[in-house]
Amino acid sequence: MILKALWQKKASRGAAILLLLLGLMALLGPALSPYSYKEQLKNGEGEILSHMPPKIPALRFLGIAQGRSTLTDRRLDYLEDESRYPAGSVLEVQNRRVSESGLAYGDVVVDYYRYMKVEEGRSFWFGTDQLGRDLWTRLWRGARISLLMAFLAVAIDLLIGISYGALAGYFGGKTDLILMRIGEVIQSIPNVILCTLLILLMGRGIAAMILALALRNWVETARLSRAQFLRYKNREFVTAAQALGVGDGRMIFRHILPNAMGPLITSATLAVPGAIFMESFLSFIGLGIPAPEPSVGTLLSDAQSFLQTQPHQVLLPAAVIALLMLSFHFLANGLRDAFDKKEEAES
Amino acid sequence: MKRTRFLFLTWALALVLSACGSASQNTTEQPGGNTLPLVTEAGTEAAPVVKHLRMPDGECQTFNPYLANTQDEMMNDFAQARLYRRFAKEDRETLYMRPELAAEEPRQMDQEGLVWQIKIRPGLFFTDHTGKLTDKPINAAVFEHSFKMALDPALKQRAGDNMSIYITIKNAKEYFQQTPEAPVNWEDVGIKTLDDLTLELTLATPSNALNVMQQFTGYGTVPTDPELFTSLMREEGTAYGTDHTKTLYCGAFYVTDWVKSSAISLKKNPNYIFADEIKITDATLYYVENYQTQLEMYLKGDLDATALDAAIAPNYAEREDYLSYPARYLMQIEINRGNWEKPILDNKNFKDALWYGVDRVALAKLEAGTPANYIIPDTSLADSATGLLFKDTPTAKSYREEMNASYDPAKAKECFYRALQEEGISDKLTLKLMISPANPEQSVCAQFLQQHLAEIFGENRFELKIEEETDRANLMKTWRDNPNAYELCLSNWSRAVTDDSPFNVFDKYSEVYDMKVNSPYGNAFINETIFLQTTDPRVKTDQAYNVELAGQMEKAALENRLVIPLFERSFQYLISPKLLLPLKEPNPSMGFTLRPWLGDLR
Repeated sequence: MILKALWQKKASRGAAILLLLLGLMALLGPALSPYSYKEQLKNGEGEILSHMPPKIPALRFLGIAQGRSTLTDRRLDYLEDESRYPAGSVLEVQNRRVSESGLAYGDVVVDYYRYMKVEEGRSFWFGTDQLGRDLWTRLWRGARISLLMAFLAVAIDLLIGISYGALAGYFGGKTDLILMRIGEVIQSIPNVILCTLLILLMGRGIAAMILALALRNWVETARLSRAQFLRYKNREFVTAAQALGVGDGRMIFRHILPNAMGPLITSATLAVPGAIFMESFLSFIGLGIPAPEPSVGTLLSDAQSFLQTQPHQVLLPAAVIALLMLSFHFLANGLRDAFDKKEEAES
Repeated sequence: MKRTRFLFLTWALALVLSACGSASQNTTEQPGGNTLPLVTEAGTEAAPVVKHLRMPDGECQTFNPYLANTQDEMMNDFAQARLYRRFAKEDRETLYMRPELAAEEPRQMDQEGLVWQIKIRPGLFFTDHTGKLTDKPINAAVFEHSFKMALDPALKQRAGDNMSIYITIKNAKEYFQQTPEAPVNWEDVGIKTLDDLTLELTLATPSNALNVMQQFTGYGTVPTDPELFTSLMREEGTAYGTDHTKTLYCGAFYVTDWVKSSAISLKKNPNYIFADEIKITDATLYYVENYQTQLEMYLKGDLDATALDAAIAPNYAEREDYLSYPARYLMQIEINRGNWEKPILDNKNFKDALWYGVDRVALAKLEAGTPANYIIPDTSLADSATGLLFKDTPTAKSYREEMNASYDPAKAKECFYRALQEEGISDKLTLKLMISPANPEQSVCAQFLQQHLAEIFGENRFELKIEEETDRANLMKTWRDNPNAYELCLSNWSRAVTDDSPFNVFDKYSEVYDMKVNSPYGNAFINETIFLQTTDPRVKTDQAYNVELAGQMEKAALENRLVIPLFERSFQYLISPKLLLPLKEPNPSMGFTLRPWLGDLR
């Protein structure tokens, strides 16, 4: 019923398909490219292929991603010099002008693959970074790592948060009071500070990042879980189970929790983009996973210096983050509506 | 209708009158925004010429010259004079050493060159932040006090360390490095005030006049008013230089405003000794951290110059306003050979593997630098009078040429496996390479080495982990007490002070100079040769001998793989065609700044 309700909503259906596609690309994308995520690619002369523009031969008919680049402020008297411009590399000269000293200048559109003497038939779909690493491979591997970290962090959130909130909500009284005050103390510590300290303490790495992401967020899950348990623990089916002598553990995990899962699943779905965003933020400020492993955040951080000259290096990871965040949000909205409908139907 | 006509006529009259008024005041609105009346020699008012220079700068932390660091250099360069400084000749081709606050070249008072007297110009006073000449004099006593503050053992700052670069003042280093157990009195230091305008220096090692002058060109040797300095440092901790209104100036400019982490505004100092030669009237040093923002500001016309990020510099190389400035520092791998947990770091074959394993040409291209398999920078002058660079001396050529073909992956691999065998390592060798965080150059270099060396040595046998360490420089210096503090480290040492003394490059590699030792270099030859300068008078008086010795030391250092040099970093700028720099071509002796205040704005 939930899935059916979810599928009926256009936005959540689109989000689910997009997420599936992004997930597939994160899983299979790197394998589609012949280059590894850390290989520093070189041309036949051993020169590192830095900042190659995207080139996707299949999109030639659209006129995009053709491996062209515009070299601004170039002296036009050098155009015939083949040591600077290999044969066939110059495509067009735009914005011709003469400087005060009488030199002719212009913006030279070049086939950058010829300009850099890249062997025929070689192409980098999303271009390369400063160290000549293939950005297609790095982007999808980065997305995979970002998603993996986010899912694991949310899983830890759920595990701790649900159990903690269940205990507080089910037993109530002093147990509830103590547990929730502890949670509030933890929640009062600013997230960024907590993450930064933990990463500095443990050193940069995937484990540290996952722990940093999960360390504080479980409190929110615990509060929600507690609220759900408070809501259900006095219902008739719970009283009936108690009358039949069902133990506390069984009561929590077999009887109340399955009924309380709706809002928790919705909350977890919303927590995933939050974790991705936090990971990207931490990577962006230099606390991400260490090189050469990429994540979407480290890709963005590495590319920020080249925003003007190589905008695609920023736009592509930014687009992946944006799509992931939007998809998760739409999916979470759909889930919430679906659970609401289910509840309405049950009541 | 009448009312409209009346209003129109009134408006027209007002317009004419206001135009006449402007003309009669004889002032001209200048791009700088200020309109100042100026009286000409004939007594008539001429259009004021406002030449407002706008430069990007690092974040200035302090105006205190003895606590200042590289990022504080530009402000000091504009606003504070020294005893001696290099100025551009009229032909704008070369620089020459000129007495600035000193009245003349130092006088040699003995045969050996151990005692020198420096005469201070008479009638010098500090200027305050309003441009007013104060009654605070600049005399010999002020300099003695200033040098004492630079050598303050309590502060232990770079300025004190730099007091012993070109000459060895008697007991100066001992005073600076004194401990409570072994105190040294200031009276025993070879800096004395003889009279109001005469300062006498007694050296531990003979020197020549050029070295004495060079010693006092640095911003750590500028004078400060003793009364103001002492009161602020005593009463408010290290408050001197944190407020522009409580700082006194003696340079070409004075500071009118300082918005911290934003901008420093300066005006030409009419009381400066060479004020007539200064053409710039106003200057603003903007703190712009990001190169990209600097570039944007420059392209919009908000700055007269911008430094370029190495990664994007090649994109601008064909522009007419592009200027590539000679390299001033070397990027190199420091090896902590004293790390007993990783004895392979002291294995000669392992060091050879690193030496032969780096493709310096590819790396230098990534960093817009020059591949380097040497230690003395290419810009180091062997003789500033003739402009002879150390690299062009027969000494350097005799051994540098044979070392040029240093990239040999097969040999590197062979050395690496031999080292593993010698150290009994049968599995993967993992080493940590420490770098500074938020240093894009080091990050790119480290990531290049990480992959490049793993490809040569085999990914299953070698892994380089990159570790960003905020306190990298200080951690490196702890090797004596904490030998395992690090393994490998990238360092980029500036040797801007090596002009006329390439020998001095090796200060930091000797264990004689305690403050400068970064790694346990453990090179006996270098230690002994550096020690020579305190005993052998020829080192500071015989330029050819100095160069010869520097060559011997570099050869020994390279053969010992003291460090693994990688590339020299050059600096790229875009300079507005309006800005006429003091020299047509960049000159190594200029230091880090372009010294635009000595130039002109067209």
